[in-house]
Amino acid sequence: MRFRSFRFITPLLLTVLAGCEGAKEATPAATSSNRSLTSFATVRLQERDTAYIAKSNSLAVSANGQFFVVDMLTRRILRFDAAGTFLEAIGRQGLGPNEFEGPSLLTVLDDSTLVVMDALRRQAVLWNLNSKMAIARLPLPGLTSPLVRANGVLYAAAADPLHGTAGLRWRSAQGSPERLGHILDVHRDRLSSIWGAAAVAVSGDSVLFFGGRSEYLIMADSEWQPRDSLPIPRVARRGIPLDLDLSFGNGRNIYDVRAQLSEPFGLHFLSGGRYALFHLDYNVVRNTTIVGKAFMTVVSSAGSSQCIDVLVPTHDPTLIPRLSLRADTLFVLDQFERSDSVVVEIKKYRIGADVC
Amino acid sequence: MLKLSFERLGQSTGVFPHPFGSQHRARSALVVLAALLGGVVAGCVGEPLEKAAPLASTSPTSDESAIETLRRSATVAVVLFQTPTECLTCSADLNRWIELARESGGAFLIALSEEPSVEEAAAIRRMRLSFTVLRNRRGRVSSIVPPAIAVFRGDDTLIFGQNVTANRRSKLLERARRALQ
Repeated sequence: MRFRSFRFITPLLLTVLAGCEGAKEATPAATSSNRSLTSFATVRLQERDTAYIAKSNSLAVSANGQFFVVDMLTRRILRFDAAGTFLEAIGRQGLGPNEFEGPSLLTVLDDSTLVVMDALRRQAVLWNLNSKMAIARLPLPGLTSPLVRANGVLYAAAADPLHGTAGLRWRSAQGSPERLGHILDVHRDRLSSIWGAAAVAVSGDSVLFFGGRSEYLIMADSEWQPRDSLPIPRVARRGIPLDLDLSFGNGRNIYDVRAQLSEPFGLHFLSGGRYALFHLDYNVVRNTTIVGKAFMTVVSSAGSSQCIDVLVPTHDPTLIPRLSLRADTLFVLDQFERSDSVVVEIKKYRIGADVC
Repeated sequence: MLKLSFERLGQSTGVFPHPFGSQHRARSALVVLAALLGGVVAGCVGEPLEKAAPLASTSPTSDESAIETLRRSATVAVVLFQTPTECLTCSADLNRWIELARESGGAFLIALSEEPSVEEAAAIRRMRLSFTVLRNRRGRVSSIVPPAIAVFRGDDTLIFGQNVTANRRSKLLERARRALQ
């Protein structure tokens, strides 16, 4: 009799224990599949006493593997070679011809040209890496996406609170842009305008952007006229820090971010007709400190489905990583404390060709 | 992106509207009255710092010229009085103050008015900045309302900020000076 009772109690205890184990996770683990995101190299950035990354804002990688990182404390860009050796500081804070007030959203156009979006001066700055000076300052109508170039033409998407998001085009690197069609809802009701980065990508004659409330990926032509669309899953926010409930208890958070959707902030063309979408699940702690996690989703127009959805790994799970993508390689800027020092590394991940 | 300066930070009332309306205004009037009384008392205790130091300024907009002037002087140590909830890197002047201290061979320290959260402390450490917590004791109105800058140059102390009533014998300043060592 005693033995039979034990047979029932044991599974019950195991179930309770399993339940307790599960309760430690505030949200479901997002690393459903890491098999196709393979880490293959890590480069430690060798900073200097007078040139270190205090607060990163944007990461760009050139074709020859050099790294460009915006530092928001000093309002300048730090350049490192492919091995992580510090090369130079680009610009400095100010309103002068070679200075920046709010640098962000870097793009490397070619071996000699870096584009810096200076949101506070409302300019896209084309910086020549050889002459070490700004060679053009393109006026911007407001917050924009990063500047991208396709077939010698420059494009960006600009937030327009009245009409949606406008497509902008410069046929030459000077003067005001032509206004193309409006992309509805890229910015509407979304905090992406805070980041100043509408998720838009251009490749060849194709433009890629989110539509609706980020429920569709829209493929458009170079005149921004939609040609095709691909439904993407609405992703609820995941990766909320475990102590967030405590924050709510103290009245330190105004709104419940768990009820909101994941924030799309980046789009990239991958090989084989696939696209990488970046989501940001972030939380504002006490008004100014922002913590969060980034997720990458790969979708394919051929498969019309979500193929992988992975957490972009970092040492500090609450630190928002800076990301860049070149071909099928994902670069992640990771900053963390080790012993008494702070380390900045660029981790390289290969997105497998078998995905999608 | 918002451009914030110390001047604007000094006027900041937060992102969200205050829910208390007229009650809040009445409370604010009491705080102002208390501050005025505090100022009178402070004036009796010692000479106001702004009068004593010719470089001192209550106008944060003149920070840049002050920094340039200080750059030519001897070693200076700089303390930024700040609340952990305010954005550090939003201030356009912050890096200039840090550079001023480092170029002169002095130290730069952030004096927080309350304990930072884990995330806030980590963010400051990632910026390679040192901080200490100088709490307002017994809930009194502080003589230095953050954000404000104190510059220690030899025996001189210069204060830059919107709402500063500190004097040379301010305990808060003395604690900040000790924290630098």
